[in-house]
Amino acid sequence: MTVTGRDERFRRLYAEEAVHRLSRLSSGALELESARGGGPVDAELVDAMFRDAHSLKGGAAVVGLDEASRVAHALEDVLEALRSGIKAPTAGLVDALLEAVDAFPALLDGADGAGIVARLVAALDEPQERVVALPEVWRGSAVPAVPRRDPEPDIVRVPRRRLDALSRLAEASAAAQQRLARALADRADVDAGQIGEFRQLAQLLGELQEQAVRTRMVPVASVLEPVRRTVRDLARAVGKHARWELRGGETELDRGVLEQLADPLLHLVRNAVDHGLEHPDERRGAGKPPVGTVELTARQRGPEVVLALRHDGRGIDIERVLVEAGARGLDTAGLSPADAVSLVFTSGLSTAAAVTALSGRGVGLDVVSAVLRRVRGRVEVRSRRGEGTEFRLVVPLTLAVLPCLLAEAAGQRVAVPLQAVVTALPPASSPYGWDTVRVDGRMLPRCALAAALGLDPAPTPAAGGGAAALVLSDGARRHAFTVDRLAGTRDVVVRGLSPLLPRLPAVAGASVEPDGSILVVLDPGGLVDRAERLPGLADHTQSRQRPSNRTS
Amino acid sequence: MPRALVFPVAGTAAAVPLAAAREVVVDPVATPLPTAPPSVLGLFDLRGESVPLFDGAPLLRLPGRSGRGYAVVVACAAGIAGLATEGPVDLVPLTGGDTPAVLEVEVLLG
Repeated sequence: MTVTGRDERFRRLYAEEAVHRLSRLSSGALELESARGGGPVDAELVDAMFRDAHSLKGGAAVVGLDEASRVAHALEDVLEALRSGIKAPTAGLVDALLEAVDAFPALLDGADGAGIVARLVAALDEPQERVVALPEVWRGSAVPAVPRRDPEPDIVRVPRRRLDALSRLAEASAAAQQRLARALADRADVDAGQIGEFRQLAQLLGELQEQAVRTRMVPVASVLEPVRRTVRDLARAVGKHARWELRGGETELDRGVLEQLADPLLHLVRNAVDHGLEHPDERRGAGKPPVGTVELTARQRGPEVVLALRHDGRGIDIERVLVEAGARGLDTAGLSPADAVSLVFTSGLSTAAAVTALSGRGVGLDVVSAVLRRVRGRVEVRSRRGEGTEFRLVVPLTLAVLPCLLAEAAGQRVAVPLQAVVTALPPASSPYGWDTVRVDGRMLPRCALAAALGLDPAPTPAAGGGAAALVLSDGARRHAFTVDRLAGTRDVVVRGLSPLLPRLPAVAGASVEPDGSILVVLDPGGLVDRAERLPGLADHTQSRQRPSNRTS
Repeated sequence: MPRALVFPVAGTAAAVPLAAAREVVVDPVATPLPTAPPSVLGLFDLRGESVPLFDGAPLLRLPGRSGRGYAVVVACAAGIAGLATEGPVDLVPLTGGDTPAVLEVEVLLG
């Protein structure tokens, strides 16, 4: 069959639509399974799933994807059996549904669907112990003509680049309005703030900016389907019973932040099921219900969103963490329990009793911590032996607006994310001969910010002079930097640098100021890296720094 | 007939196809980017967008540095950028003979 450009376009549209329908089918299958054995099967849910399968079938036939159409037809058969009450959503049937959903995208690229169809048919033929009686109203009914529940009301899908362009234009408009105010003052001696229409324009542009930022926000639940699926699949694979619970899934977060959190969440969930939760017999022996709970709670707290992932498993063995850390040469003397448990974020450290294909190689929690730092967040851990563990991922609501401290170094004004600023100290010289400062009882290395940024024409690590010493933290490390001047704090609308630029490790982004100047926003982690490599400081910073219980 | 913008880069004539050029900015004020290589002069504001300003001399391995009187704004798949030049910037037809080598913007900035 010849595929024309027009056909190709329709297939692309079909594939885009299929992604969402398959996601709903996957989510629906898991819902059916979690209702199994509990309350009644959700009639509306099966209706909605049937409609999705039906649409997948019809659409595939229209664009000439025969294999996809055949599999969708088999999906319909399974869902029809559920609708009519002939079959109950057993684990085997749900497995077959999920396998078909997982395999469906490959059918769009020409894969053969015979195996999937056979699996679905076999699942239908399996004898079942229990048949759930569904409401009489379903029996023999055709495809529900009127949707009773629209899962995505009033949703329009828009390419992200258009939203980014909208945000950029909104910012540029607000900046242009401020430039106009300056121009009126400079050239016509007019105070624009006294003009009612101008004030109204400023207010409208401010609201436009806020709404543009909001277009980037999506509900947390929108990326959690693979996480939920992992809990289910992994628990079955390792012979455990796990229940997934989500609270606050409607909490909104910047899409860019949320997408970066998907992998860390998957990793934490794998750890929770593989190592955290006990097997049913062990749980019973400990007086716990045989089904473990993995729960994610999302909530907004001021300018941050907290994602708390907790499970009621065995908890982290802190003694074992300390032994492992000591064996790796880490200084663990005198650590509080909270600090000790945070050692799990140290690279290469694993307390898993057995290394499995899924987790337990000491790779991962340090990566989780690194991802959180990249999105300007932090991860905290709390654990009680025998009761469970909670990881709290704390992230900014949006990457677009960042509270910053403004400072000057070698005549250049730069912004430092406020979250990384531990404190600002007077630039007193060190009594110890080293270029150091004492903070919270610990000696920290200090250098000139200009030297670390390469702005000083004759770079030396000497930190004498300056107006203040800023102590910055990238979570694991702290370092002090002397600056020429502190210029206050404020929210900065941060944009990533052009992809045409090489990677600049100490720079997180830039912002166009209302007067048209550019404000460079620094990356504290990269800055500390550079500072530690300055000649004369490298030896001094070899001294081990203790982990903090905040890994921001 | 295709045309090109011709301008000096550290004293050596260079050209970019008109199709790749967006505009010419007079006196771009570039903010230096800490830790950037010598080919990156900084960022300048182009109607609310921060645009990188490049010195073509290191990129073309020419001795010396470009002047900063103008920025020839060029576009490629990865975005837009300014090429610094002391000027003048001329629009000329690409006839072959006298035209300087035409720069491939994608290759130069890629």
